[in-house]
Amino acid sequence: MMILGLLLLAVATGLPDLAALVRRGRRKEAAVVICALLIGFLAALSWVMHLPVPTIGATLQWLATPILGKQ
Amino acid sequence: MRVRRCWGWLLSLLLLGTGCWSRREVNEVAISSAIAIDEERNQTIRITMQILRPTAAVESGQPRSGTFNVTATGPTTAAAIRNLDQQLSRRPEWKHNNAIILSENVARQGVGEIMDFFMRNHQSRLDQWILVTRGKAAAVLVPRFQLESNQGIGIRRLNQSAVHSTAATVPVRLYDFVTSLTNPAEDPVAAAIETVEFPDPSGEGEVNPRIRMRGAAVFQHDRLAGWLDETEARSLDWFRGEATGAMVVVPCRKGPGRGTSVQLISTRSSLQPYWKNGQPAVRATVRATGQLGDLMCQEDLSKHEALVDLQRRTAAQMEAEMAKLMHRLQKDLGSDAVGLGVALERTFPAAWKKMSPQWREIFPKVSVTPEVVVELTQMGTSEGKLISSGGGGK
Amino acid sequence: MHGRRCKLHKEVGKVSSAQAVYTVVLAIIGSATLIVPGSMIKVAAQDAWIGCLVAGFGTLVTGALWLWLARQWPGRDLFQLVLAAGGQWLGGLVAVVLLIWIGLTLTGATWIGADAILVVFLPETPRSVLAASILIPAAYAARSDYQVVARLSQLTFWGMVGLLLVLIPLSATEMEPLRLAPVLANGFGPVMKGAGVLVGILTENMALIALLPMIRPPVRPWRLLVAVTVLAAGMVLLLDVWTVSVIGARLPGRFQYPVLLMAHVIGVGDILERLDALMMALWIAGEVSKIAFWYWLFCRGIATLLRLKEWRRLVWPFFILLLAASVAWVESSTAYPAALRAWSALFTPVIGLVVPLLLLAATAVRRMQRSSASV
Repeated sequence: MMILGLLLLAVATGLPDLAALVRRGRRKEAAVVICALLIGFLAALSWVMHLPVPTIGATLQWLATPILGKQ
Repeated sequence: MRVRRCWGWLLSLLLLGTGCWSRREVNEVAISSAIAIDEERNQTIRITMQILRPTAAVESGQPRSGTFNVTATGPTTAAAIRNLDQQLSRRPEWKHNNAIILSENVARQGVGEIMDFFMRNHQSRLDQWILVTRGKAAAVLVPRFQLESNQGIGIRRLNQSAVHSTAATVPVRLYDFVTSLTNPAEDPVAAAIETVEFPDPSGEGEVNPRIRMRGAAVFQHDRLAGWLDETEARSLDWFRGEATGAMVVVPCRKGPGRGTSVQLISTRSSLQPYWKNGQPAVRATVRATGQLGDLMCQEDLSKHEALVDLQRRTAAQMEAEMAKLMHRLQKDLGSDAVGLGVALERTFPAAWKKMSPQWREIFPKVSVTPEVVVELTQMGTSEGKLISSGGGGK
Repeated sequence: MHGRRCKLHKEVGKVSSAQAVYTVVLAIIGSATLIVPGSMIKVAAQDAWIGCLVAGFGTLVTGALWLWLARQWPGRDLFQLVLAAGGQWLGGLVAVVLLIWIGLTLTGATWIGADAILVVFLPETPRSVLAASILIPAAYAARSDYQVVARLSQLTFWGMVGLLLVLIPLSATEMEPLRLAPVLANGFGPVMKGAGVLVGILTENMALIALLPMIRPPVRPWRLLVAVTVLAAGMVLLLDVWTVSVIGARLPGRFQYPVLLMAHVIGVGDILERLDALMMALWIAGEVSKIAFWYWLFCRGIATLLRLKEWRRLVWPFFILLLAASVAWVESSTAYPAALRAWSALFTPVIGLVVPLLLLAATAVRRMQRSSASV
């Protein structure tokens, strides 16, 4: 259900603009939109499916360890 | 374009729908007016919640009770409150809760952990009044106010009235209480509340239990250290600069008489720490303005000197009461409810850092000098002494 | 290029200098007004307000570096400037860093916005729904271009100022200025830590560069920078002083959103009470203004970097990615301060100092090369 909802959200937010871009022959823009939608959908899916993907905060903390030390 | 607009509308619906998950209709909730907290023998917490009965309040049109009490126990405050759900057909809601009443037993065990729930829960508001009662806290929720439809509002109004008129207690809100609780430089204080039984004035009929706010409960950190009577409580109000309506009855200067009543209109106080022989000392300055309540002495206050003398005697009486309170707090209760530590911390931060670990030992030895200045700005509508005792106008 | 010039020409005169200031002020403190005072008081106690002064002065310097850079490349917005100054590789790299920073800023702000509503008002509503409810109007404003964002910011800014002008006098009876004492009891250490919390956010004053070419009539940029920094730091300072003087320096550190609790202590008679909802509504408006600006800049940045002809068409397709990132920013509010510290430690020196200095150096080298070639 959640996955279907996500898919619907991705389509709802991306499809009208993607269609317009394709219609006007803007291939580069369309490619960027498809990439954004795909990555966005996968990111949302990983969150919905509770996949063990580190959060942005955890990644930032890991990257900042040399500066801030272990928090 | 039309398709996008459609999607836009659909997505906008989401904005309006955010409340759907957390929605609580007014006819689906049980609104709490006051909460009483007791501790059972087996260390479980008993919560008694006074719930508003809206229909009763609306339909009656008369000042009669529109409340009922429910009670439940649990190992923690949150669990006990959740257990109330077992008896209630509606979910309890305490966003409109007016007061939290703690029993003496709970207060003596320590209130720090109990307060955690009220500071953490999103429904809890920081402006609730905190009160302590000598007996069972739940008992305070039983008597009925004659002029209010529920005890929560009654207790709230008693607190507000204490701030502005009686000064017989120390009204404290949750945020003030917890601020003191989290500050190692001061100890919390809360208003004392009790149930008293007044016989029917006509001499027949039943005995009416009533609620009365008098005195205060002072703490040592989060544990109840002891009780202050109403005179001590108002002295504490003077130290805190919070009493605006206290009535000081000054004994007559000469001759017989009941005394002269001076009603304080406002008090401002400040604690000024200084060093005396290498030891911390505090000068407590109180500036009070007042008016003459009544004159039941053989005195003539139409002369300026007499008025100045009355002001001086009122100040002296207040100083004596404040000194007595300090003696009680320092020698008997060991509670810095006045906030001497806070004053020292603000004025001598470096010295405070050194003395704060031994503050409990230092506190009883701090010399406190109350210095009160009273200014009588109003004499009421009559001048001098209106009627002398035994007849004859002046 | 001609087309772009025409488009820019059409945009001329639509944002006043005052609107630009409101937009950037809210882009900085739109979400900070509820969390930053508490975080600052937690580390600097009653001296948090001094931290605001230190952070304000510090970020005036970093902002001035960016302005200096903008003077070298007049008429260019942020990403055009970066690509022009840094060239294809360095400029591209800096643009990517900026895009990551902007993306993290806007998703982090969305997370905290959703969390505040969740914690204080709607505990049973899913976080994703709340995040979406903040991102949707922001995306709508961003797609409508910067004029709409500026107008939204203008309204919200004055709403916030108006609310504070009402709330602060209403709480006057509860205020005790002595709570701000002792000053500097623990030295400058805690003050600097407090300033550090704010510097991370005030560094965002460089966002002014993005609006400079659109401001008509043009004004001296440094005036705008001073106005933006003073207003943003001043508002946090005001909130710090207000919070400490009402509930002291110890209690705010124990709450996630202490400024919101101030509404609890305000009550005039039995009439003006429970102003929390009004406070929250304006705060959400500030949050939306902030996110709308960064969303707009994010899409413009991607379009400029990838030399796309249209940036508006990117706004909604990026929505789901930003929503997912917003929801997955941190797992809980307890992890948020540490994540924010890490974000600040990683990006503040880079955005505030390294990038402008690097681009200034690249500009100087480029100029030298050009002058030696012409000789």
